[in-house]
Amino acid sequence: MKGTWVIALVLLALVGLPALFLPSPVWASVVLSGLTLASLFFLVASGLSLIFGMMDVINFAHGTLFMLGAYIGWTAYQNPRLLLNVIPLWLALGAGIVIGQATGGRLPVSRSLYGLGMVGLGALAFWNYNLGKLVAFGSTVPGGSIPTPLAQEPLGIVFARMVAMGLAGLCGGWLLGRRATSLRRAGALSAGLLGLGILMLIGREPLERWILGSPADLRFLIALFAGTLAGGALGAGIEATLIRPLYARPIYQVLLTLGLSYVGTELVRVVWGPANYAPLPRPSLFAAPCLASSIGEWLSQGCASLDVLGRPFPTYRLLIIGVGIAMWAGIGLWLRWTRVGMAVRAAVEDREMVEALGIPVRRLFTGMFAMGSALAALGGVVATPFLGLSPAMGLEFLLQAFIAVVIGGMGHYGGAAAGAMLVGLARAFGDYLVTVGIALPGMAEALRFSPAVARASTVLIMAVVLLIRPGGLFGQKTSSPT
Amino acid sequence: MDAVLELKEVHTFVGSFHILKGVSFAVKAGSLTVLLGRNGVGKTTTLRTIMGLWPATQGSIWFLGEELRGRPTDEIARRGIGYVPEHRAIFRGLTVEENLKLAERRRGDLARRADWIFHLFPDLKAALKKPAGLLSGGQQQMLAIARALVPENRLLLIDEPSEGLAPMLVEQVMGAIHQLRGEVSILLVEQNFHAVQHVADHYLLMEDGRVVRSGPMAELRENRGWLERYLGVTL
Repeated sequence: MKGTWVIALVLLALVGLPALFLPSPVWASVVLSGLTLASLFFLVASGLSLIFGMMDVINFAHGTLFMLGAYIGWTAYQNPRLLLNVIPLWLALGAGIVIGQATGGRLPVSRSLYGLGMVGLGALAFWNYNLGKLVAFGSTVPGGSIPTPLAQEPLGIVFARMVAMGLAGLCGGWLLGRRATSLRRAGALSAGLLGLGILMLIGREPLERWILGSPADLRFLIALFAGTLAGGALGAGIEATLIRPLYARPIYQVLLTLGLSYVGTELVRVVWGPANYAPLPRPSLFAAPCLASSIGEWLSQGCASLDVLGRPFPTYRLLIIGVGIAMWAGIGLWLRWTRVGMAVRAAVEDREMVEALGIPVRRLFTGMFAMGSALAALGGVVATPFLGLSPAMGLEFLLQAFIAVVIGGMGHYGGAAAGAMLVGLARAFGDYLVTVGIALPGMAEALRFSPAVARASTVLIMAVVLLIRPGGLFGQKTSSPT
Repeated sequence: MDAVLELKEVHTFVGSFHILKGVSFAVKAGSLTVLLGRNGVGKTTTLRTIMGLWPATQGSIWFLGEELRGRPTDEIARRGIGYVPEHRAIFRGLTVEENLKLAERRRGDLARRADWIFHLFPDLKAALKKPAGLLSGGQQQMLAIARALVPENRLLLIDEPSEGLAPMLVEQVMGAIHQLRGEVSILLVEQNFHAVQHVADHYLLMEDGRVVRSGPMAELRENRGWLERYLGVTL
């Protein structure tokens, strides 16, 4: 295939040429850094690409889901109280929307009244809400004391807020219009959501004590789980309520997802503050302050760095690479061998025909959106011990992932992986050239580039690839659907 | 005989264009009915309307005694309608086997009907592991029809299977469709009268968004004036 040749050439240029000029230990660690970035880019890009391929939706909120995953994972680790108090409210909103969409019919009063009701009740739910008490991060860092239950609102008030959110959701569901779901299924789903919320609230104190008292590794696993799950749920919710009515109107989708990305970023600024947070503590396998000379030594002692050809390399980054490769292979196998994966590949080609075979494509869409969002959120959580947190990280990763997707060919799964690898390696070499520079033979001083070059390098690769293959390396879909 | 499918005064808009202007007809159980008409009279739109891909704005569509209008496409298909769209809409990146597997509605559908399907289309058996995009045009058309035979369908909607195929292949495809007669009811859209004149039991003639004439095929073969008027064909 032609795409394979182009990618082989670009890869050779990226990886091979520097190898000629750099001593091999330096070269190896730069390549490993590149693969670390590539893994994170891939986790965002894979969902972005599959969602575009199937639904023709360019989800500009995908980077925000990455960021929210990171923040939610971080919070589950450091301050579960915030999640335990706030998530039930959103679950109630979801339950209300589900019931509203199942029961709504012709609206007896004007739509704007429902909109007003939703906004009003939503505002009521958060009326006089003291976020400061919940975001008591200082006292919950590892080793710090667990705050007393007095610092949060009494259960009665939180339940009242939940009721208001549920009613707001009901108005929202009526506003969005009827969906062809059976009342029984909608009832079961909303009861499940409400039940989960109520359980979280009732158990908030023991749960918080349990999480904060757990060993760090377990807490990290909880963070991974919470962030990924929240990302998936958020993605499913966004698709089912906001994007679904807009499938016939692509421009509106762009505006919607772009708007959502701003809302998400600002929400993070409001709740967690505009400041950056330090990286999450690494799990114990990657935390001990020693330099392992072999993989065996690292695994037995849990060293933070590993000797790679004489240079130390942070072992946690190897975990990121591992997660990236595992997800790449896992999703690839899923797409290749399962019936649902087969339907996804078919729907990327022709979703109408998949529907005409009797496969419920709408459910497939929601599932795909949820999965893509969960992957991005997982990427976010995995990134926090490496990058820390900042409200800007969503946009940065969206941009790089988007470039990766365009390079690989929109809608092509393997292309997203190849694109992510190119972008990651280019960033790593670019960063190296900026910080250290390169000494060419016959030059007195190392040649150094401005940071702008590192950032531009990925766009440059994209431009070159698009010149050779306008649809991207593996792309067939060059234009939007007719 | 009862009708498997009956359309009553169906109207469909595509964008702002009023394409179907009161289509009414019935397809008898077990019959092969051909829907004939010039380009742009609404033949394809009729099939897409039945499938719910372009929903009807008025009228009713009855299939085995149940109303289809307003139901989502996947549900319509699951009630037992196989759709073979024009331009051989197979999944080119999937293998032949995957194309067929995807059409299963119950586990084992393909295994149950494999002998029959490969008897009708022997070419496909040899190409099972090939990507469908590498098949020839005629083989792709056969795959598209075979795919509609995998689940238990009561009605097939086949849109212009002869389009873009060499005459010999047209004969082969029509021969296969002819063999299906009696096993399943078929509504076939065609522009090519010669290809279907000895295959179909009943005809429907469409003009400007309506079915204007219908009856047994022999009647059409004897009325050359209609052929000339509605199809522009001279025999």
